[in-house]
Amino acid sequence: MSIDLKSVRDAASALSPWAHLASVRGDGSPDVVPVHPCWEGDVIWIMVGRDSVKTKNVGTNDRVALHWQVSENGDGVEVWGRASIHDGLETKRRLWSGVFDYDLNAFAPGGPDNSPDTVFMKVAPTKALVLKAYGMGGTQRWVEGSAS
Amino acid sequence: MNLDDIKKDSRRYGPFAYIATTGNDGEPHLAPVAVNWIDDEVVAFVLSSSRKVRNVRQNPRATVHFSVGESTNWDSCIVWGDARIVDTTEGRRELWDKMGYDLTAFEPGGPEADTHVFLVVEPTRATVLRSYGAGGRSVWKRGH
Repeated sequence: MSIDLKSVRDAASALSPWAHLASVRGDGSPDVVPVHPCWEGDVIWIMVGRDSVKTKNVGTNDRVALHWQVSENGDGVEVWGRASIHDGLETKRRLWSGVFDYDLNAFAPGGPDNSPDTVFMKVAPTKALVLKAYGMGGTQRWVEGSAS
Repeated sequence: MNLDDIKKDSRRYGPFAYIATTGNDGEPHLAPVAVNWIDDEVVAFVLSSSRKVRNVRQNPRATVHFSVGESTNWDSCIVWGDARIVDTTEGRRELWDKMGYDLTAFEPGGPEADTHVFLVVEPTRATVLRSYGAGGRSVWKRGH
């Protein structure tokens, strides 16, 4: 069954603020880290360290996957996308105060102007799966180019 | 840390983990799975037709991230390793009773059924992050 991206976003947001992010090293091996992603319209933003492994990984392979923490009954959301790193001051200022649902200052006290080691990963979704009960209760799909 | 320390730490997070694999197309895939340590390997019982199985057949590497949560203070246990698929009846019989739960509930056909296989990860390195790394980290590497 096909769904639109808004339904994917709603399903992910209802599950958990936390997700696991997979990126790929230059040698083709995967990495996984927990992240706190936030949606802005149809894109996902993640606060990351400039020198983090995930930041380096997307510099060589921009493909990533996010899997939100599954619920007790096995509901889950996976989103695949293309990632890019953004460190422009205007972008940082905009994201710092209007997009994230937690206080970024707790992790980067210097704020957007004085946190040079903090950058943002933007994930543009390309496809997604919404799974009920680990898929046994049904699967809904979204693919880029279909209705958003 | 040695591997026994990693195994002990990983049990704090419960039996569920997220396993990442990558196929020939370079796209990562994440799947929640129930895992268990059997000897010194992380093992999951999975559908033969799943993407993670296809990926491991193409690229025999996987990363296991045990579930993160408030009850474990947002600590992380991450295990990287060489992965393989156990898809023979003999191999499934050997592992069938070692997962810590009744596999028959998911595969009534028993170890003879080809619709399920075991995904086995032989660790090459592991990291324990405390509070997303803010509280420090411990590292293990095979051979060190």
